Formats: sequence, structure tokens, C-alpha cells
Amino acid sequence: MTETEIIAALKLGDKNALGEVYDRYSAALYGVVLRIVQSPEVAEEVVQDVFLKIFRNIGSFDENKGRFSTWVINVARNAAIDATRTSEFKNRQKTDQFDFVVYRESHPATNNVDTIGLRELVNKLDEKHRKVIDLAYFQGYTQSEIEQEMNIPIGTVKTRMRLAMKELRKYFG
Amino acid sequence: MNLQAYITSGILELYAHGLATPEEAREVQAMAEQHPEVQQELDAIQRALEGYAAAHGVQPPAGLKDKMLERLDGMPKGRTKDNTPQKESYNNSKSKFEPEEARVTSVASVAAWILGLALLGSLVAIFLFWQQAERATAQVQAARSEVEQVRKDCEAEKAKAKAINDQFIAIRHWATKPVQLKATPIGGDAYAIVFWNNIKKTTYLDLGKLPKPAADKQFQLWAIVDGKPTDMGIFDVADTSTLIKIEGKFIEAPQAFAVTLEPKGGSQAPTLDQMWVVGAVAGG
Repeated sequence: MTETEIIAALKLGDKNALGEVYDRYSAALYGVVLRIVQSPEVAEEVVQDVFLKIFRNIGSFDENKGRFSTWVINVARNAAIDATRTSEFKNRQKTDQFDFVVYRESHPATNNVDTIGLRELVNKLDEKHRKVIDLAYFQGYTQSEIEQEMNIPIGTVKTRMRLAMKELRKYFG
Repeated sequence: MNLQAYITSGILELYAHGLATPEEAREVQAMAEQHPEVQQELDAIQRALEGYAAAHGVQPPAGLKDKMLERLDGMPKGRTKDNTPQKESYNNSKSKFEPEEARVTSVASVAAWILGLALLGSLVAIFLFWQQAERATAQVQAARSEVEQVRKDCEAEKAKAKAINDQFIAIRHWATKPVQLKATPIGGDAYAIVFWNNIKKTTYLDLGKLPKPAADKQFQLWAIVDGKPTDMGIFDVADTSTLIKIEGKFIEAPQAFAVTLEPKGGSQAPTLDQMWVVGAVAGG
């Protein structure tokens, strides 16, 4: 199935099409969600919700206005960020400190980009630049929250983001 | 607007990260629709971010797909369990919940849903605008009271500066005579100075080194005219950094000035054994 076919099938309510989406995107979405919520337990819940949301909300996705992958990842990011804002999540975090780094080491990504490649890439990014991307993209910080957290004006946030994206685009552009 | 400047301004990156404000997001969407170059740039940024996200990919646990599909089967038709609205500022994920039935049932119910969503959308918009306005009002108010405080401080400083300047002018006047009041045997190391000007008709008192009296006592200044003391008023020893201007009383030809310690409120006649400092007017 091509992506266009999958989307069409989803729009018709075809549940099998969601399985196709799962096969293509589950690793990326699970990775993103896990990075945000930092707990495999919570991530599993959120990822399930995300796929159900994709199925339910596909009607609002317009292929002419944006890429499906962007949309899918944004649904996941939003759901994960929302999950970190519930009181239940905050309570859990207090009692259950999860070491994300350790987890990542023992469950390497099996996606199209291998772990070594990722490490190489991340190492190439300036720490300051990576932090801006991570705060915004993976932690859902707002402009002013980033300004405060990093103690830099929004103009600098933009500059750093642009430089970081320039680097990333060498790999993914 | 210069297109290239817009593309390189960083706003597209901000937008792709979900950081743009709702106004900025609308602007980016409009620009991307009008200008293919903007759309291209935006696509490239989004591809890069997706790549970055995918690079963080982790294989989910094996049973997750089945669990998810089970839940999908168990989903009641046309009813959404999950009513969490999506965040506003993200590009394409603005989707509000839309039940699966709505897509397949009659045009009327689709229209009703669209209407409902539009209504909800406008309520959200109204709320956001209201919130924004509230915040802006609060900020303006805070800024206003700060300005008011600064203005008050400024006025106070100005008054103080003017008083000091007036004193300076008075002391420098050619006709001003300084009168040194020296300690009497009970005065210890106290001293004071009276600046007396027969042309400008002003009298200033420099507290010099008078001690702070007990709470029930006050110092009182006297002018000696023809051997008789004349009341020049009571004063507090508080701020010794400026002079005290003696208001309303001017003595034309004093021979001397003296300060005595009196019960609070002052006395009709000086308590002579409580005279702390005294000085004769030269040529007086």
C-alpha cells in the first residue's frame, strides 16, 4: 500500500489500514513518546491512544496541506506532552524515577537509522543547539519557557534552531 | 515582505517545532500557501525533524500492536471516549476529535458536526483572546503602577534636591552670617550653626552635633534680643544631613542664638540650666 492508499483507506474507516500505519510508524512514535514521558509503561498507553486518535481524527488530515508523517508525529508529541501534564503522571514520576539512558542502551533502535548513526549525528550537533530542539520538540516547552530555561532571548532561540536544523538537514533533508 | 528574509528568519523552524504563537502559525500557513519556496523550505525542515524523531525510534514491545487493535475493535461506534483537544499551535494535528460515524453518515450530521466544531473553535478562540486580553491588562496595570511609583520617587527626589539647592543658595548669599553655637558645660561636644541673613530675612539651623533627646524632650531654639530670649521654635533631631529652615519668625537684630532642652512641645521661657549650645552674632 502506498501512503496515499493507506490514508484513503483510513478515511473510509478501514481498520486494517491502521495496522499498516502501525508497522510503519510505531518505532518512531514509540521512541518519541518514550523520550517525552520517560516511562515504558506510560509510553505504551500513550502510543495506543495515539493510534486510536489517528484513526479517529484522520478526517481532519488534509494531504494537500501537510505531510502525513509530520501529522502523525505531531499527534504523538501532543498526546505525550499532554500525558506529562496530568497530575497522575506527576505523582508517578515522584515515586518512580526512570532512567531513560539505561533503557535506551539496552533497547537500541531498530529503525532505519542505526544507533551508531544517531549517536554520531547527535554528537555533531552543538549541545546548545540540540537543547533548543529537544526542549521544544520533545518536551513541548513554549517560547517563553525556553527563554527562561536557557536564559536566552527568543531571537537567539530562533538562530540556534535554524543552525541546528541546517545540520540535521544534511542528514535528513 | 522579502521572501528570503522571511525564510531565513527562523519563524519556519519555530513553527515546525510547534513553538509558533497562533498568529504566527496562521501567518506561516498563509505564506506557505502563497509561496512555493516557503512551502519547500517548510517541508525540508519537517523532513529533517521527522528524521531526527525517527532517529530516536525505539521498537515498542511485541504485544502492543494487538492490544491497540483490540482497543480499536472495542471502540463504540461514533462515540469518542477521548475528548482531549489537541494543542492549537501545531501544523496539521489541529484535529479536534471527530467520531468515525460522522464521516459515513448523512450530510446533515456532518454539517451538524462541522457547525459544532466551528462553535467550539470560536469558543476556544474567544477564551484564548479573553485570556490574552486579561494577561495584557494585568501587565499594563503592573507597568502603570511601577511608573506611578517611579514618578513619586522622582517627585520626592526633586523636592529634596530643590530644598538642598535652596539651602545652598541661602548659605552662599553675601549677606548670610554663620553663627557658631558652642557647647555649654553641659553640652559636651555638641555644636550647632545658625545661618542668619538680614537682607533675605531667612534663618537656617544646622543641627551640627546635637544628640537625640529623650522621647519626652525636645530642643528649642532661642534668639537673644536686647538680653531677652525670643522663641524661634522647637525642632526634632532626625535628619542631620540637611538644614532646618526656621519658618515664620525672623529676628531683625539678634545678639545671640541658643538651644535649650525643653519638655516636649517647648516652653514659654528657656530652661536656662538646660542650655546646650550658645553663640553670639558677630557685630550683633
